[in-house]
Amino acid sequence: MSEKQLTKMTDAEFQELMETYIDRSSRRDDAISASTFLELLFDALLQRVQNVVQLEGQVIDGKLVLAPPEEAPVQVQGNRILLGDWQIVVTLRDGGLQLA
Amino acid sequence: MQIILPKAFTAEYQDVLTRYLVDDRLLNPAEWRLLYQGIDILNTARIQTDAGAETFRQAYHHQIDAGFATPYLERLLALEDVETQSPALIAEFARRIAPHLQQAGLLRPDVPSSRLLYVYCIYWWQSFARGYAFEVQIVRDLQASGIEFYSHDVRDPVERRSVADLVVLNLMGDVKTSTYFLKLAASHGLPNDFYVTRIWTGRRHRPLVVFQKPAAWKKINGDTVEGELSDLLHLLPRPVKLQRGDVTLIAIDYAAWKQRVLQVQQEESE
Repeated sequence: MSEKQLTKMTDAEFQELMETYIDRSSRRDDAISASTFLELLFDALLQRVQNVVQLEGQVIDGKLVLAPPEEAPVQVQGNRILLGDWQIVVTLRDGGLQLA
Repeated sequence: MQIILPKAFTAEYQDVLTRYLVDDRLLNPAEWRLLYQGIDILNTARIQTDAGAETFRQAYHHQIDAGFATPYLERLLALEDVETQSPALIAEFARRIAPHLQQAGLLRPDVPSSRLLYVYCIYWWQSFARGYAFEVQIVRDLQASGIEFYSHDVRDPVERRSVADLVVLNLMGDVKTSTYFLKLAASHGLPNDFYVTRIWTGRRHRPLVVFQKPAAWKKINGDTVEGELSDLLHLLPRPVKLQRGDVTLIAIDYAAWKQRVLQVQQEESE
C-alpha cells in the first residue's frame, strides 16, 4: 500500500485502505505499545494544566456573547462553550456585569 | 458541498493519519501525538452544504452516533461471547458508515476532502464500538468474579455519558481501551478513582491493567513497589507506583486487583 495522502489516492486505493483498516481495527484496539502508552499518558496529564484557551465576550442586550476562539478544541455559540461531551453555559447574575 | 479544514490541519497531520490507517504498529510516540492532535483539529473542520454548516464533531453526532449507537449496543449486549463475536459486529456497523455518508451527500467522489469526514467518523466509531465491547467484557467478568459493583446502563443514552462506568467500593471507575483512555486523559484529565485498560505488548499477550489514584489504592491496599514507566511490564502483577513530576498513578494487574477488591468486600461484609 502506498502512502499517498488520503485526498490524493484513487477511489480504489482509498476503498482498499479503509476496508483493511476496518477489518484490522474491528479485531483489536490501536497498537500503542506499553511504553508509548505510558509516555503519552503521563505527558497528557502533565501538560493538561498548560492548555489554556482564552475566550473573550461582551454583553449585548444584557446577555453574554462569547467570541469563538480561533482553532482551539472548543466551540462557542452565544453563551455556550462546547468542549468534548460537555456543554458549559455561562450566565450573568441579575444586573449583569458591574464596572469597577 | 464544501469541506473547510482548519488552517492548523497541515499536510503533516494528513500524512500521519494515512500512516495510522495503513498500519498503526509503525507509529512512533511523536506520530501518535500528531495523530491525536490531528483528530482534535478535525473536530472543528466544517461542512458547508445548501442546508447549512456544521462541524465534523456535530456531523458525527447527527449522522453516526444518533443512529448507530443504540442499535449497536443492543446487538452487543445480546452476544454470548463478546470477545470472539464482537469483532464481526464492530466491522458490520463500520461498513455502514460510508454508504450512510454517501446517501447523506457527505462523502462524494468530486470532493476528495470529504474522505477526511469519513475517516474522522470511522475513527470515532471504532473507538466507541471497541470501547463498549471492552466495557461489556469487563462488566461480565466482574459479575462472574463475584465482585459487588454498580455499572451504568449503556442502553440509556444519558446514562451512557455518566461520569463513571463503574462504582466499586464507593470508588468511581472507568473501563477504557488504551486509545480512549489516552484521549480522556488529554481532554479531561483523570477525574475518576480507577481505570481498567488493556496494554499492548507487541506480542499476543495483552495484559489487563488497572490504573488508580494513590488514594483509591490506599483504600484497597497501600502496598506498592516503586517503578519507572519502562519497568511496568516486568513488575506486574505487583502494584507499581509510577510517578512523573506531580502525577502519580498506581498500576496493578487486573486479576490481582480483583482479588484485593474481593478481599476488602468480604472483610466489610463480615
